Amino acid sequence: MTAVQAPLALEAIGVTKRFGSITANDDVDLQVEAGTVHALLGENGAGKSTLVNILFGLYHADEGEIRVAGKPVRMDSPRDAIAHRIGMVHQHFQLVPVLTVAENVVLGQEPTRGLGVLDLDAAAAEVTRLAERYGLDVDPRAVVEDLPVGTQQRVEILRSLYRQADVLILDEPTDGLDPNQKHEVRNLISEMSAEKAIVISTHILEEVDAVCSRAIIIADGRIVADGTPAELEQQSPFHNAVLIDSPDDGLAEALEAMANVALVEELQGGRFRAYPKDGQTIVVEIADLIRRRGWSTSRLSVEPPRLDEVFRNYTKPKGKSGGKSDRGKAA
Amino acid sequence: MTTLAGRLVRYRWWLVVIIGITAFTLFTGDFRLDPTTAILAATLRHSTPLVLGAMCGILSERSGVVNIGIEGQMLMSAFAGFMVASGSQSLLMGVAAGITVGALMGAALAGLSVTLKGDQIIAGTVLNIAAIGLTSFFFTQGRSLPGKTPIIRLGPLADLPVIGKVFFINPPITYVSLLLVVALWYALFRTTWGLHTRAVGEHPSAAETVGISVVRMRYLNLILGGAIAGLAGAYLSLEAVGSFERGMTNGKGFVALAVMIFGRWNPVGAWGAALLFGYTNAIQTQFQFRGWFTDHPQFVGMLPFIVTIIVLAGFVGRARPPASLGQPYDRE
Repeated sequence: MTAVQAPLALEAIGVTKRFGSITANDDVDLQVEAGTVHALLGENGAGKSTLVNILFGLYHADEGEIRVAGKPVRMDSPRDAIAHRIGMVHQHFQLVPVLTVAENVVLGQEPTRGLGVLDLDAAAAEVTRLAERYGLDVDPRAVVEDLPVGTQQRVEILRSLYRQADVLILDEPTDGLDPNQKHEVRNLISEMSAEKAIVISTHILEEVDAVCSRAIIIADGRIVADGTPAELEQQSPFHNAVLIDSPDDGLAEALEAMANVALVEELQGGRFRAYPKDGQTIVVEIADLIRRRGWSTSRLSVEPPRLDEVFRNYTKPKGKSGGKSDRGKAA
Repeated sequence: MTTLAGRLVRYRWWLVVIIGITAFTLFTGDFRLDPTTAILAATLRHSTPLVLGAMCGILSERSGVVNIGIEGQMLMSAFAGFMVASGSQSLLMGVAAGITVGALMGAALAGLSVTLKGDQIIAGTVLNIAAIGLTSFFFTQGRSLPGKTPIIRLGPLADLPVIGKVFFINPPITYVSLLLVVALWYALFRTTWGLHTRAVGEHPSAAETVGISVVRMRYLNLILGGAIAGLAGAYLSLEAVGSFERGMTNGKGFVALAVMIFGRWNPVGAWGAALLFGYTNAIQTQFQFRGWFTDHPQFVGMLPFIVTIIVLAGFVGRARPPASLGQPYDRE
């Protein structure tokens, strides 16, 4: 790993958690810097939720260490996590349906007029202030159960903002939202990431591309891949592969003859896909080749980045080691 | 709808009920001041153990624990209050003992239902059966109290017509119960403790994720509730009757549950409901005075139970209990 000057906002070292005979997390490491958005990718049941619950003090790790701002911490309950300025937005919203937005936001850290008497006006004012600052549209006096899902999510996020969390953990933040709401939440995440370290647990890959600066893939409780979305995409079997609609019968042989082409695959309708050796860029040379031969083609394109292929490679059912993607197997 | 006319329309059925009850009370009181005042005073007297029991239920259930052991908590406290008061010849010690035993019973319920995560209905039943068994076994005839808790006149307020005699010439636990109604309402809806209690009863895991300890809140509320049920028990033996009898709670702990539901888990609502039940008892006594229904006194005696059935049949479905009521909380 690269040396880091400022202490990491949140760090997990060798975290292991077992439920009976099942190992939900197996020697998991995680490093989250302030100002970045980390994705935890994995299938349902891969161990993402276990890890985020450990990071928020809901579960206690059997082995390993959690560090906040460089210091080892012990978290036995969410109260400890909140004290260490870790906030969490749960997949199944942890809001009390019959209470108002303001009551839910301040719950556990209420403003008072002294002697434990609630100051709900101050709570409502604080919620309004935070909502305006982050451009969220929420009525502090509305009762939560009357609100649509997208608004309830905003209330969850406001709650973490109210607690001035430095580290924000979001479990499946766009699950069940419509496309507009998803877009809004992603914008909000990007905005918040300027001053916070954010961890997103998700199985939605477009989310990773959209907002994350780093992604970790978890399978069977282990971390199987760790890198920027671009780095991970390079591990796709389709990385830098080129699609060509055949202009001439001689194309396949000509491509196969090229030094840095690993494999040529014939697709339907006279279309070919050329895979490069070691992920090199081959599209320029193929364009050259077509120009030299005087062919014309209606299609010559590089495969778009496909994180889903990487993800599938790593999370395939048992039998695959998953340690390395095996290129060219597609043919 | 904030205009007077709007309010009248909205609460028209309550108005009908209030006017009906007033007319009926005046009729049974023979349209004379003293009997009518007596009915109202008896209403308050009969409502006191019910509203105290209901407040015990509210504290338990608002934090998510069903408490059908109120009957047992009241009976055990009535017994403990009587035994300590007769032994020490101090009513104050007796009341303190009743409250303490009630709180201990609350702690026992918390142990069974919160720590051991047992079935809450069974835990409450255990309290009821234990109370009947223990008080019957250890009760011995021939003990006597130094009197009953004294009636206190609240200065010039006591001289007010009707209201003075009903509200301001009462023994101490009755005053305390009225103060508790207001105090508990305020605490439940205006303080952080109340907000935490309601959060724990509605959605315990949400409360836990913001750092509220579900276990701590439930213990606290069950013990506090037990103490209030203990006060109800002390009321029965030391303030109302001045003695102990086997099974003297006579179902009041269960009626208190109906009162709690009718009052929608709200102390002020429960007070209103307790007054209604107290009224059915008070009216019975007045019937006897007037010599009505003397051929069939059992029908008059059925009145409180008929009201209980009507209330439960009519309101239980519509009233909304705390969402996580009856479910033990498990974090992992």
